[in-house]
Amino acid sequence: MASVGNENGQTISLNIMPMLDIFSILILFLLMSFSTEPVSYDISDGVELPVSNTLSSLEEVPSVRITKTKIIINDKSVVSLRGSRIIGFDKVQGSVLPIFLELEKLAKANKKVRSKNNIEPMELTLEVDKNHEFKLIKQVMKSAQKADFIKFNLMVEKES
Amino acid sequence: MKKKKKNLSAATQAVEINVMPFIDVFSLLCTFLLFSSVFITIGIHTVQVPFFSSVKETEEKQKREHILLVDVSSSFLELTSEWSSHPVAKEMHRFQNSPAGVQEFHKKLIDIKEKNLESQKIKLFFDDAVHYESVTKILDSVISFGEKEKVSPELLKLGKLFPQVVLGNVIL
Repeated sequence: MASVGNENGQTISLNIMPMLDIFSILILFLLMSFSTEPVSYDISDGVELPVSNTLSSLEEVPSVRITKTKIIINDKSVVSLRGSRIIGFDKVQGSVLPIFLELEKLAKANKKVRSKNNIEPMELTLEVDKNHEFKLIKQVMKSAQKADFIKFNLMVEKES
Repeated sequence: MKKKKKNLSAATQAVEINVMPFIDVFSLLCTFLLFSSVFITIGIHTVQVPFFSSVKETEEKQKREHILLVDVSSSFLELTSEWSSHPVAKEMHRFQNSPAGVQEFHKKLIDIKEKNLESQKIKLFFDDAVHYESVTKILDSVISFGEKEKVSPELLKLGKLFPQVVLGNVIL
């Protein structure tokens, strides 16, 4: 028990056992949630992920983030968006040049890291706002396909 | 006797535990974990896009295989099931792109999978105007089934319906 003295010299005892109980339960819960996810990642501002019943967990931080207003590749804002439309750049064969150039740099960096025997197709993780149309996602995927990315991991929020 | 009484009184004195360091450690640990904990768990759906390979088709690849195609628009889902060689046995089914329609579509996929357990691949063709949220619902119904769903033991062992999802209209 903790105690405090007042002006009259009387001591007031404070029962801190319930606080310790709450602390211990809270810490147990937080430790369990800390250890179950392989990757800890905060969703970007301006992105609402759709809910899904998938069981697959996120394994790597997303390289491409498609928010409500822009497309960000490796923390660099590449193009601006209005709704689901890319502003300021034309499409060539369905792909967008600035997106392709950034992804090409990423692909070259990945190829250097991968071993010579690793022939698995390269993967790209996309974080996309749920209100975007598939047309925009298709344009990004076509740009990535030109840069040799074949597999895509689409981020979703797991159902509780 | 007096010595024994003294020993007894010494033994029965209250032992005070200082819990303040304990509270300090707990509060610091709690603060750290609250900052680093994740309250929204994130998952992924893995899809691939079609690509041309320079590897020649082997005889094994030319064997009769099951083909599943799904056309998705804002209002309808069209499922086509056929075989790559004779007998083709082509079947087409249409569903509404609504929660009830997607549920029926999912049940049809379970039926098809139970008849063709080796079939792993499905091709999806999404219209440009379909929203990503709807894309995710379709992917859920194509890839996985719920724990409470009544499926055959063989399908339950496999764990997933059609794990290989190809987005057919993302092609250069």
